[in-house]
Amino acid sequence: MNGGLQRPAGAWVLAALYVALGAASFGDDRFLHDEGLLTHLFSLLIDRDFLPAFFLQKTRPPLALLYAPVAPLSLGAFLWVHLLVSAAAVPLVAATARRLGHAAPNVAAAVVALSPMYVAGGAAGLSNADAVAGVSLVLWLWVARRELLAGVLLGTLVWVRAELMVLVLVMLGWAGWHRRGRAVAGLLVWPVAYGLCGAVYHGYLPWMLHYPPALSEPMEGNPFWQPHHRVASLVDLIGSGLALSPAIVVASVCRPTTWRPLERWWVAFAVAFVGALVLLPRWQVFNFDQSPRYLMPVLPVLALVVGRTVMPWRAAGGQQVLALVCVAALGVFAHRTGGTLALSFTVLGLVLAALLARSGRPRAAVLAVLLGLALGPPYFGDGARIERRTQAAALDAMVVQIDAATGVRARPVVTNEPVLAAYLARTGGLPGVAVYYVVQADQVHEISALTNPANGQRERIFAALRLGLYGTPIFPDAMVPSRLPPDALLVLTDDPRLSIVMPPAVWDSALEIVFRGPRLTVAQHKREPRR
Amino acid sequence: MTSESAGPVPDRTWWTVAVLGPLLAGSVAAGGIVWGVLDPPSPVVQAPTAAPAPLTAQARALLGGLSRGDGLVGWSVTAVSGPDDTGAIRVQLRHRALAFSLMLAPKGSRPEPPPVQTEHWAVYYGHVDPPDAALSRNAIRATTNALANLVRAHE
Repeated sequence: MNGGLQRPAGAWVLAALYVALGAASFGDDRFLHDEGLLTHLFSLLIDRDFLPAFFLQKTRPPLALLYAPVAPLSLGAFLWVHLLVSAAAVPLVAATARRLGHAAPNVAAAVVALSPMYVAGGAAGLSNADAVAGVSLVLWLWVARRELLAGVLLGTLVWVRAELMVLVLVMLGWAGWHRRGRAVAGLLVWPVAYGLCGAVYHGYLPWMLHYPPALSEPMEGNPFWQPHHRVASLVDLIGSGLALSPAIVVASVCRPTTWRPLERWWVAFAVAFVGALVLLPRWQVFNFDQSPRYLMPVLPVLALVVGRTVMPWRAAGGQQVLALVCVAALGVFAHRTGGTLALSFTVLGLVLAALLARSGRPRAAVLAVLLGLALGPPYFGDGARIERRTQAAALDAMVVQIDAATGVRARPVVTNEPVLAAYLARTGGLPGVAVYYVVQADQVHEISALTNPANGQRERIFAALRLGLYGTPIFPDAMVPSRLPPDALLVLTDDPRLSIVMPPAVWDSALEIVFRGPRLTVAQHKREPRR
Repeated sequence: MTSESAGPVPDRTWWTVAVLGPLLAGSVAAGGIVWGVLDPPSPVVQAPTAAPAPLTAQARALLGGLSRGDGLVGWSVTAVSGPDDTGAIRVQLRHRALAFSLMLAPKGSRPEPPPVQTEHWAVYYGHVDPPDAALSRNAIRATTNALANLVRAHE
């Protein structure tokens, strides 16, 4: 087994396994997700009108550019390429572990390949998964002493996921400590080049600050964000951690004394990153929610910590025992307060592995850890909150209702569910149904605030969006009863924002309810009574 | 100390921290699992808007004697109640972790068209638990039709 855990070929097998797990989800669109559709949309915008889209920071320009050649082919083609790009993280982490002198580099690769959250993110098209692949490449370049390239890539990745700024700060700290100016120079390449080109396009030097990648605060009076300003519970965090990888329990018994200095810097990044994600929404700093997918970029570091811990397996000391008992107690607490028994079972698995190692069977111990990892995708994915059945819970009921309300001739569907058009197109269940997407007021507000009206960017971005935005978009100013197709079926999920674009005073008298179910309302134009 | 490759003979002493520690952690975890199985924690229940109406004899007859513990096309009946103030009869169903309710309402008593109806009753569904779970199309069709067939035989 040792050969399989060490040879590069083993990492490629794991990458193939990762692709197989992701591809298996394409059949039933298990991970179809609006954020993944957004990644696809941004690449389409680059294809539709390059300059305005490229100099709109919201589109995550480097990523949109990467997928722009394939995005116009189809959503399916985009998702396949996205999955393959994500799979690159597996051999990259193995190569990094090898350079760091890990005894079994493919253990770290297995943690990445079998991460429930990463499998889902890669298959869903989430930019968070691209951040994992990007961070994996940065770490590999970094440990390979290609610091300039590592800096260039990391400086670019901040325009893919802004939260990677934490890793930039760590790299700056490392560069300052070790006097490595090349890394700092690399970090500046993208911001300077992109910023200067953008200044030419916008005709305005500080355009990056004036038109940032995201709003620092949600639209005033937007009810959508209020539920997000809550604190993630301990049960939520445990579920998210296990979805990132069940091996997170192994990390609790890690031994920092075995880490190389570079690994310590990376662990510092992971700790600071998780701390920021937990605390910033609590303090309502920046405009993001508590989605577990934000945790993904720490996966390569977690994988390296796990790889160090299990090979060679060292006997537990007092610190490890204390940590493990605390985690076990946490598992009991989590279950008694509404969580699952997943953490308790994971601790039991780790105890079994530790005892196997103690009895002189370290390979069996590593095998037990690998088996535990293999159970991740089927059993630990719920905490990632990426699955379609939870993120677009009303989707199946929508299809039933559209099917029931559709006669011989397909009726146009007007919806506020971003995933519906893609779901219908991919499943082919209801051919001929045209889907119109009700663009929310806060979405228009955000695009307006982040684009430049003076050079025509705003107008051209809206023109490009009219070609397709989760279906055929209906912008708020066109959302009046008289302008909808007379036979339109309105299939609406419960969304507090809807009342802004569909004021009840206007719409209640114009519609008749066809169906009202959990989180779903189906309506149509009120028919005139027969005389 | 255990080393993973050739070298010193593994220490097989069992009363060391390296053995007792994991055993202690494992005991806590195993104890939690046993506790969870023997005494499952009470689910977090939202305050009901109204106490379920007791099942009347007529309603029981209408449902062909369907009662708690019976099966309905693969779903387990966990409660039957009603009619309530609006005349509706509720049948709560569960399969593994997913639960939802079927509701029989007198025909014409609600504005929404029901998925299935009988001569006098309309069958609706809702109250999915957990709230963010989705019912499959087949589950909705199968359960609403099964309940409608039951009612047709007794109305």
